[in-house]
Formats: sequence, structure tokens, C-alpha cells
Amino acid sequence: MRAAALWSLLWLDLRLAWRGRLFAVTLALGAVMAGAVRIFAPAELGGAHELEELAAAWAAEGGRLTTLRPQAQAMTLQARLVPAVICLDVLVVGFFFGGVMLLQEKALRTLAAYRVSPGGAGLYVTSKVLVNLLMALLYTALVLVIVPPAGASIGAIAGVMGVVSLGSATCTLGGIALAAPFRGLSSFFYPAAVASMVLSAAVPAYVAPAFATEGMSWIRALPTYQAFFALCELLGPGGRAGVLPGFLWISGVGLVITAALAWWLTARRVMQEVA
Amino acid sequence: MIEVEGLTFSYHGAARATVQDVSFSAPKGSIFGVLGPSGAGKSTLQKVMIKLLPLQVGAIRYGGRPLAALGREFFADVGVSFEQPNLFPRLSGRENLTCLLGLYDREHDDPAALLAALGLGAAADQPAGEYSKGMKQRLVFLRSLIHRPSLLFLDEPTSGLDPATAELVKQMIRDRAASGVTVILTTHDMTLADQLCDTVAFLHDGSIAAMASPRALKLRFGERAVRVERRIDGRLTQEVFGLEAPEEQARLAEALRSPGIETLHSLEATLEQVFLKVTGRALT
Ligand SMILES: Nc1ncnc2c1ncn2[C@@H]1O[C@H](COP(=O)(O)OP(=O)(O)OP(=O)(O)O)[C@@H](O)[C@H]1O
Ligand SMILES: [Mg+2]
Repeated sequence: MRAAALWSLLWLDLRLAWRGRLFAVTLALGAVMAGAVRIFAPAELGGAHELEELAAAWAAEGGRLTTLRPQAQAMTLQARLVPAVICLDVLVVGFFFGGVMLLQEKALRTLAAYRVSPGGAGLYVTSKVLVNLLMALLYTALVLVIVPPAGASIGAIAGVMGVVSLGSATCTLGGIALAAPFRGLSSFFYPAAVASMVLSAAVPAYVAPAFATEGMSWIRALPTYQAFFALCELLGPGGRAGVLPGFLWISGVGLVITAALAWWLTARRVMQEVA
Repeated sequence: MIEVEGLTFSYHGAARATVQDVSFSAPKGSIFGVLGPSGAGKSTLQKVMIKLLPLQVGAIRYGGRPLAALGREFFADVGVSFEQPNLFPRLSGRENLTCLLGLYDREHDDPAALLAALGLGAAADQPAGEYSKGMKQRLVFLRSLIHRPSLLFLDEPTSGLDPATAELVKQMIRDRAASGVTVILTTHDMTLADQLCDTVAFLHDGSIAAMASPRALKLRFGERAVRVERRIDGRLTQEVFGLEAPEEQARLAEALRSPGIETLHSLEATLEQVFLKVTGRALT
């Protein structure tokens, strides 16, 4: 019975997301971002020969070049940008959508109709997570089609989808939890903007890893930071296999915390203030 | 059967209770009207009864069991029609009617038949956002009963409807009650309450000022008399005849036999007048 109820609620949420153009917005964003990376980001390694020349010159002076991560291989800029494009949607947009879906239903007061049905908060939150998950996976697939990862195995692609799923679920739950206390979209906008700014602090850290040190090491605890490197690891020869367990660990904890928060706030707060 | 006993509810920080020591019971298959002016606490009472607000003081029992002991099965058994229509504007009328049905594990009515019964058949596939106010109202009403609830909460179900459609809605409410559904009807509309309710409770400043069948209230608070308007020698005259004293009745019989009668009015009280007497204030 609960499974049947979940399917029917999911079908409702899918129609709402589809007609609210959330699918269209997501896929258009994916096409534009991935298209831009495909067209503008160089797909060849630049500077590798320069490095070799530099090492040779250095050796001629009697110096010795030490490679910190010998297993790390250089990635093209294009390959390095793909994880960023994927994370953008999954983490930042997914986060907004979770909150927006909830607040729209608050504003329409359709939540009151749901509240007096045998549905319940758990089912409500689960259905929202699954809809956003589907959008995130479609987005990721589109990005990977437009900018195909060179030499990534099926297993690696499956891993990417796994990372995306985990990240999307955590972010939808976070968005719902953050939106729960707010009445409408306008008041949710500022906290959501702040939250996504914090989450996107991982971008400079991803581009220049030194950014996440010297008092900024908290950035490494952000799910975004972990997701960037996990995706990078899966999509290219990043040579930092150690980040995968880190990602799983941080997102696992994040998932549990946000799920508990989202459920609790929806049950105790959202469902109590409707009608 | 739903029973409310000594229910008192105060909003957080409010100086006085919004609902005060309210007790009543609505037997299976009855229509119970909650009447009162704006701000009397009708919606608050209803929200506590459907567990939207916590039960603070008092007891509510549904089918003999305390509300707190009932979980999802309570909501499976309840239908609520909201005063302000709350629909998904991008879904069609039919989709709005059926979109939550999957959450109920029970038989339901045929959506097409329900839509047709209230004149929404032609608009069934139109987005609800394009419906008129009255159409939305009808759809919300239908949504409250499509899953065949045993307890139906209706908040102003006929406001904004034309008389013919309002009549259809009233007949549907009567039919449901006749088939055993308990109906809690919240309204300002005294005529509606008079036509539908087995029992009405006048809520005034949160407490029940009077509670009885509409007929009993009208008899208790009204005047048993008839006003006769006659045209005698081209002039309109009015006379009031009581229905209690035999000599008054004889005079009335005589007046009725005389020519020139233009109108007859029973001076039995309307529920509105009863309310005024009971609470000392008008409904708004
Ligand atoms: N959420 C709330 N917080 C605090 N006070 C409230 C809240 N909702 C209602 N009230 C107060 O409780 C009182 C009763 O309100 P309620 O909505 O129950 O009235 P009502 O009888 O349904 O009126 P109407 O006929 O206008 O719908 C009002 O004085 C109102 O200001
Ligand atoms: Mg009200």
C-alpha cells in the first residue's frame, strides 16, 4: 500500500515539475553549460611540454624535480570543467528546487489538501527527492553526452550517477529543510542564496586546491568540495582515489542529517501550519 | 459519530481562548452545523477536529476512540472541503480531483460522474487555474468526497455558487448524510444551515451560545403569529394575528375569508433572528 501511495504521489510530483517547466529549465541549463564547455574549453593538454622543458632546465642547473602525486595525470580543462557543470545543477539548483516545490505548495495551500489525506511527511519528502533525483540524472546524462568523458569506463559512469544521486538527494533534503520555516519564495530567496554561496565556495577550491587551506580548510567538509573531486576522480585520471571514501563518508552523514531535518521540519512545522 | 467534550483551544500568546469549553456530538449520518460570525472560532474548532491544531484541553472521540490514538486511518476516513479553493492550477479539473486518490486504500467514486453531476463535465480537462471561482469551489467540494469519507468537513460549501448549483450541492450533501456520512458544516449562511442541518450550534466568541435543531430554535425564539396585508377601499392595511389564543385564531379565520388579501407572512423567527437574540449581535 505504501509503495502504491508513493508511486501515485511521485506521478503527481512529476506532472507538477514537468508543467512547472522544472525539467525544461534543468535540461536547458545542462545543454547551455555543457555546450559552452564543449565549444570554449580546450580539449588538449596545454602546458605539459612546458613542464617538461622546465624540468629539463631545472635538472641542467643541478636541481631535482619532485612530483608530489606521481600517479596523478594531467587533465584537460574541458575534462576538469565537466564535474563543475554537473555539480552546479545537482547541488545548487537541486537545492533551490527542493525549497521552491515546497514553498509553491504552501502558497497554493494545496499542502493543506495533502495534509488531510493519509499521505504523511515521509512520503511527501521522499517523492520530492525522487523527482529531483530523476532530473539530476537526466541532466548528468545530457552533460556527459554533450561532453563525453574520454576513456571513462561504464563503471566510472555508474559511479558518477551514484555520486550525483547521493548529492541530489542530500541537496533536495537540505533545500526542503531550509525552506520549511519560510512562508514564501521571496523570504526563502536570501537564505537560499547565502547557502548556495557557501556551497559554491568549493568552486575556487576545486580550480585552485590551495584555496582550501590556511584557515579555509572547512571548505573541504562541504559536500560540494567532496563531490567535485569525486566526480573528477571518476571522470578522469585524477589519481586521488582517496577522495571517494571521503565523499561517501561526508555525503552519507550529510544525507542522514538532512533527511532527518527535512522529515522532522516537514512533519512538525510545515504540516502543522497549513490550512 | 464524532464527539467533542470540553474543548478549549488558545493560540500561542493569545490573551483569551479562541474556542472555549465546546461540547457536542454528531451521530453517524447527521449534519451538524457550526454557525457564527467571522472570528467566532469556527475554523479553529474545525482545525482541532481534523488534527491540524493540537488538542490542548478536552477530548475528541471518533467512532468511540480518542483522536490522538488514531493515525493515518483517521485521515483515510475524513474528507475536507476548504473555504478558499486550493487546487493545482496547472492540473486539469479531473487531475485535481484524482491526484491524491492513490493515497487512499479504498473504493472511490467515478470522477467523470462527479464532475458531470456538478456541471464540470465540459471543463474536466481544462486547467483548474482557468476555472471561475464557483467552478473551483465545486471542484474542491467534489475532491472532499470522491474517496467516500465517513466524516465530511465542509466550510462554506455553497458560497459563491448560483442558486441552481447550490441546490445540487445541497442535494449531494443530503444524499451523503442519508447514506451514513457524518457531516460537519461550517457556515455563516443561516438559510443553508436551516435547510440542511439536523442540529446547529451557534458559536459566539468561542463558546456555544445555543444548540438544537433549527426548528426547535425557531419555535423557541420566534413569535408564533401571522401578518396579513389586505387592501380595503384602495388602502393597504396590515394586521398581526397570534397563533396561540383561540380568539386570535378566530379573528384570523375571519380575516382570511374577507376579500382583498394581498400577502400572508408567518412571523416564525428565521435562524438569523434567533442568532441575534441569543448572542445580541448580527452575523457578518
Ligand atoms: N493562526 C492564528 N494565530 C493566532 N490567532 C488566530 C489564528 N487563526 C485565527 N486566530 C484568531 O482566532 C479567532 C477565531 O478565528 P477563526 O478563523 O477560527 O474564526 P472563524 O469563525 O472561522 O471566522 P470566519 O467566519 O471569518 O472564517 C480570531 O480572532 C482570529 O484572529
Ligand atoms: Mg473560518
